[in-house]
Amino acid sequence: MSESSSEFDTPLSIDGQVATLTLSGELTISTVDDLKDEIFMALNCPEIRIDLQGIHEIDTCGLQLLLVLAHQAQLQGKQCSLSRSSPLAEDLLRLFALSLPPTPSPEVAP
Amino acid sequence: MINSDTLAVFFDEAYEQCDLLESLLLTLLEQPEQKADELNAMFRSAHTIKGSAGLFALDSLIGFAHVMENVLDRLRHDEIVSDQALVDILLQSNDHLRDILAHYQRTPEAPYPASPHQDHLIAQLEKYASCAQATASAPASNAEAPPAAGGTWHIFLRYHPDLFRHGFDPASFLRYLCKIGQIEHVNTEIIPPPLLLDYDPTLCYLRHELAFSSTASADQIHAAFEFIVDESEIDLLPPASPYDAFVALAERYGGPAAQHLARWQALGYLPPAVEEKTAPAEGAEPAPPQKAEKGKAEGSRFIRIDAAKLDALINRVGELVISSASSRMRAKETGDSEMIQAVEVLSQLVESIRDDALTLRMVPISEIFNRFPRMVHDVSQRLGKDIELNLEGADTEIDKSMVEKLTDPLMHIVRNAIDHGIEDAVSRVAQGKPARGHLTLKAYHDTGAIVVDIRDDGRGMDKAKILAKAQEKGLITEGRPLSDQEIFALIFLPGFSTADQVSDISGRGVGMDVVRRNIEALRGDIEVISLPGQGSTIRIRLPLTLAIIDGFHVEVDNASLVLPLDMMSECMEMPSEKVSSETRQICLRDEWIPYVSLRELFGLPPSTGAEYVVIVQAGQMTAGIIVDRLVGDIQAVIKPLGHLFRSLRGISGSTIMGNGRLALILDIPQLIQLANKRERRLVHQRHLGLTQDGISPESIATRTSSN
Repeated sequence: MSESSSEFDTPLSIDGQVATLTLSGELTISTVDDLKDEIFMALNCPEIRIDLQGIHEIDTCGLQLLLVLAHQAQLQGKQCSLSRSSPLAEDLLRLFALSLPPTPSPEVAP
Repeated sequence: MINSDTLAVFFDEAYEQCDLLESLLLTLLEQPEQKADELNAMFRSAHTIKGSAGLFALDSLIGFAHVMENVLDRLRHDEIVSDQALVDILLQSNDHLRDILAHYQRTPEAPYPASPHQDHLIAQLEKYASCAQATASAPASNAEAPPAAGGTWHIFLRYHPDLFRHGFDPASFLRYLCKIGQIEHVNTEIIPPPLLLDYDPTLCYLRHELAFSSTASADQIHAAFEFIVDESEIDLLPPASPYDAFVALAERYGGPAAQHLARWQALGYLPPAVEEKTAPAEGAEPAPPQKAEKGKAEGSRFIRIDAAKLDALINRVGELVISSASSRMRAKETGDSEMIQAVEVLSQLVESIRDDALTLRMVPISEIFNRFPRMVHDVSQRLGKDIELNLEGADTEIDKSMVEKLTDPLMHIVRNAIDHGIEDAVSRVAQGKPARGHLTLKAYHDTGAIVVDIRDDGRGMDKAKILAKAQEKGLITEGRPLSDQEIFALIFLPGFSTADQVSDISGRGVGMDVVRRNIEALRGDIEVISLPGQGSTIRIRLPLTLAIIDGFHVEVDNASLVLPLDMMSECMEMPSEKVSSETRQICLRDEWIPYVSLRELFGLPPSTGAEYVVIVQAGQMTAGIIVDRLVGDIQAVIKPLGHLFRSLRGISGSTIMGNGRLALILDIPQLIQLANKRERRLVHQRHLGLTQDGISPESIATRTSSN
């Protein structure tokens, strides 16, 4: 079991029931193929948290990947939330009038 | 940045779309009870031009095509009715499109310079494009539509799956919109595949629906999507679009329409459903949906091939034909029957490949004919004549390479017929003819040739006038009586023009001599049939193809000669009697026909052995060709003669035979003409001689004219 802090090599860390996706750098059409498997792995856990603080580039294609994840999580009755956002991602979400629910306030997992 | 190959294809297609649009406009004029299909097709043409112009950023073209598209869009939605004036403006606009295309073809980088003509057209078009919009604001009892200057647009974006891969990002379109207005509402839908396994993260599964308020023009809003308009499905509903427009959109949206409508209802996009539908001509209805539908080419059944590739194929097939003939000959020499049979099968296959290859080059003559309705419309309008054009046999196929070379001569002849042939309505009625003139273009096959007739029911050609003119110009000397054929043929002489009045339609210095030269360059010939007061027919005969012919191999003094098989009607031994060597005539089944001895023609000594006659035919005329030996069928790949041999009489080309030797191809129409001309002269001389000797001319068999 790894810690829930960010790990650069693999974005996914699983801590008990909670999968945390810590994304950094580029989330664009050039990285989605590589990230896809890792990201969908998170669906193995009942709760998924996404941390976008480290990203410095995001495009619609990258955002779409997160939306598909959220959509899938919802279909499977799992919780998917945004633990830490980034201004870039917020801009894009606002442009599309979309939102990802923020992780409920207690930062510590139950 | 701009790939010249793709650009060339674009121009080709754009011109085709212009042609299509033009022919549709003309049908519209003929049958104003417009069919929806045609109106849609017209819209699509303009739209396709605009869409593809977008790919190359040919802004002037996009701009102008867009204005046309708007009008055509209104037309197809019955928002405006077509009338003569509108069709004329659209026709002019279509011409202008071609001008812009031609401009970009020369200089793809430079924008088309603004011109008063263009401004005028745009102003005219916009009158039609916006007449309804202008009045729409007046009776606006509409719940949510603000006045027409600005308002809430509804934008529906169904992106192509490859959007991201092609380097586009929907965010950039939305950001652009933010610059020219305000996005009041966005509905982002994501429709991922049902199975996560099928999800490809680089494909686009998004769909956007926007309420966008802006004072920007439709152009500016369209501009946001100009680069994706071809692939993605973009629909713009202008402010105050009627409920019906949303219904129509929902129906082509894909998926259950009711669901879309319910969603738009929930989003507050929909205007109230009850809207009185008033007469479209009054323009009381708000603006139409500006559908930018996918420019899907209905031509997916066709593929475009570089003409050079096709020519290379035909050349290769030509060589194949030659070498197959050669193997056939070698096989015969071996006497091995199985070998002969095998080679026979092979050469049959080669023959069919030859035919197939040749049909690849064939296109329906409608490619030429379709340019005429427009031209006749314009010219007759300018001259104040009422002329109906009939096109017959437009599906007759013609070698593609002839299309361009035939168009100009035909144009010239038709122009002449309208200008000089067909009289104005008043004098027509005075002669008891219908006021409306008739012009017919007819294409058909006849003895291995393609014939194009241009027939008018005008005044016909005045023989006396032609003769007088020819004498005045010193083209003929007096004394010898000329047949009708010969008189009419005078109009093809250089420097001949009978028009009393040179108008701007015909008589631009390009005479019928140029027409004849063009036709002869295609190995064709041209003749005139005319009856005074009844009209004229100009008949153009062209060979089926320029490349390969089925020929008949004959020999004269050991030289091989080939004549086109389809011009032969029969061959036989030279009869010893019933031959008049004085007038060069032989009697064939009680009819005297002229003959040409090739030995005589080529200056060879008279034959000592038996000779044969090949009876050949071109059009109405018949003649016999005297040769030494008949050899048999041959496939001849025609190689043109060099410039050196241009003036050679009776020879039209050369070919290589199976044994590798060269054979000359006889120019049969020329030989027949020669024979007929000489026959008349000789018969005439004979007459004179006989009359002087006191013998009645009726006592000998003569044929005084070719028919």
